[in-house]
Amino acid sequence: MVTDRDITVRATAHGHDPFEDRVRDVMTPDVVTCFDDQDVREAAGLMEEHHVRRLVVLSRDRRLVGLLSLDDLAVEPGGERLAGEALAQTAGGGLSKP
Amino acid sequence: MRVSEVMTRDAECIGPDATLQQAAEKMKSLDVGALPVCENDRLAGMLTDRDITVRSVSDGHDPRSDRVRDAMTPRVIYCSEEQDVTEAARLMKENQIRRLPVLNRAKRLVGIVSLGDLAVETQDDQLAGSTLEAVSEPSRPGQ
Repeated sequence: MVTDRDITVRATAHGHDPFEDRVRDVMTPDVVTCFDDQDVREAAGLMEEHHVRRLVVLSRDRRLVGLLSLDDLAVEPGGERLAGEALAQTAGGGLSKP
Repeated sequence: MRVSEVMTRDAECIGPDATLQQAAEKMKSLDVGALPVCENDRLAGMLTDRDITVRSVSDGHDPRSDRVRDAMTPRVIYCSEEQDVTEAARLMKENQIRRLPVLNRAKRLVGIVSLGDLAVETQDDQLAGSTLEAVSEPSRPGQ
């Protein structure tokens, strides 16, 4: 996975030239995945456990079929509390907390 | 509960004439995604890691020479340290933002309050979750 933050802290902060740097140099190779037929509660549990806000979604034959974010959970009907709990767990990761 | 009880104090600033590379270095060393921009002790804007990526790098600019003032968001929504956290949550919802700079009565920057602070410090999952819902956009456009 590559995020705007990865580009900022792994390339821009080091004074690299973004015209030269490749995605593989800044990406996070280990991604947390879930399956498209899993319950959203389990997905929220994975976000809490691994302190991440996004999951890569795979089909059971392990093909990439989508992304799931904490935001997706929050806008789901009735998902507010679930997302709030997951947010409380992932918020310690420093992304939002100066 | 007041904002001053949940905010992160001693927020570090960056000057508007610093380069985006310097700002990125600071974000990396502080492990933060947003920096308040201060000029002459006054809040002049906010700069996020996303601003650097989408307003400089992706436009083919060189972040080693681009300045903070070129990529920052100058119109800043802020709150006061004496306000209630539900007021801060309302400001986040109305403006669809996840962080608010916190000013004291003299309009000096005294901290930052994030959606994460609301979730962790208030122990109120409903408040944090409903705020997250309001500021959220689905990751798949058009959904």
